[in-house]
Amino acid sequence: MRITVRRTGGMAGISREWSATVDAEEEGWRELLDRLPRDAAQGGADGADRFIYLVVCASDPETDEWRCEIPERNFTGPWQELLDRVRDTPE
Amino acid sequence: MPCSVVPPYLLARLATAEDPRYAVAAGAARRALLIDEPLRRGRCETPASAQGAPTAPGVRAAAGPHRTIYDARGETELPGEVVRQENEAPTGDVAVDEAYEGLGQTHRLLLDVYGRASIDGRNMRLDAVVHYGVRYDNAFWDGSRMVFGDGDGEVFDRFTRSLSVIGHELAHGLTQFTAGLIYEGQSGALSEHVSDVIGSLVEQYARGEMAAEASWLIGEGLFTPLVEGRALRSMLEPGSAYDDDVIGKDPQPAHMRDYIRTTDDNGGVHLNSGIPNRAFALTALALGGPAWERAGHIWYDTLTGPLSPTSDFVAFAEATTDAAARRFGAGSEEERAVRSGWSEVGVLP
Repeated sequence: MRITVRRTGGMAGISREWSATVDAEEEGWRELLDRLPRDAAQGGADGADRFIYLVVCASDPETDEWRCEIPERNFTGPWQELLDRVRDTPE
Repeated sequence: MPCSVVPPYLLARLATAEDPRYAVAAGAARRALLIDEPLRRGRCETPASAQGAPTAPGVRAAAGPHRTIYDARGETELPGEVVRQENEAPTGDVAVDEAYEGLGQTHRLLLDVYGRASIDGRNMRLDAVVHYGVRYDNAFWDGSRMVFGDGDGEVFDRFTRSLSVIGHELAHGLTQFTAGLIYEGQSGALSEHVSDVIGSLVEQYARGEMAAEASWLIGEGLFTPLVEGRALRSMLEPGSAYDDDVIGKDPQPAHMRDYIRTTDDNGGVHLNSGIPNRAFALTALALGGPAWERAGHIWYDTLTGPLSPTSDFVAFAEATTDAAARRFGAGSEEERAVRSGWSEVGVLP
């Protein structure tokens, strides 16, 4: 599975993107993917200049399995853990 | 019984003086009028920062700023711990002291030049949080306060380093209390634009720079020396602020023909703001002198005038030409400069 985390917004308006190809059946990843609170995507912009995260998980490059746009204030817990793990996964 | 040396009618005349030679006197007069206002109404307003403490009867409610700086100490819980309040001495923590000074400079521009006491016009307290998160690469407005990260040290230095950034964040509060521009698409890009205008004007006013001398940069000094770039944005030459191997090239368009359609960044609010930014800089340069005076007044009038929260670029451009005509007369040099600025970036014909 290809996991891409794209961060846009922020005062500087500079986008960053991190991605990794992982084995979604491997226990550590499966457990983390199951724990992601998809309802965190709810809620609009809070204030101004905050980051917005777009998480895309695709098993096939042509078909997005799912995507979630999450405002910064909800990008905590398992979402932050996901980003940390994606960053730490060697290409 | 307080006694004023300058009679109120003279203060009122000075406060509305347009002649740049009287800019300092006009600012001082506006401050004096605002300070005296609660007395004339026979009441004192207690700043929120002083609530909870007893207020002595007859204490003058000053129009000066009521600043409180908090330290998040690397956490993301807001607001953190109070580390410096109004009239307290510098702490020696550079981020704390820069935030404190920056809030003061922004308050001073709004009050001296536009006669507005703080962002809400009622001398609302100004709160800022520093040392937010760990290596946090951002500064934001959370709806009631400004929040500043320390930067990662590799691409970004601390966000309080730039006065234009502090002014930018506080101006989001000003927009929230006035036009309420929706933070999405073109109205969102206008919110970003207004924040860049105020941020840049705060810096120019503090330095006493004329339009032609100004850098028109937003966030100068935020990048570490490792980054190939001057600032986050250039209002005059959008798209030219940085070009770096790691963070890429400044993507801002300078003309409507290059308008970016995207779902990222709330519909490109930090990207397409380059277009109105350039229109403002061109207007200010065409008029010459201090940008906060004529161009700044027209934009301030627009923001505080009848403007829809969902305004697009054309609606905002038309509102600025209307504001110029109201303040300086139909067919005035100012109205023509505004129209020409918008025309040059392809927003108006």
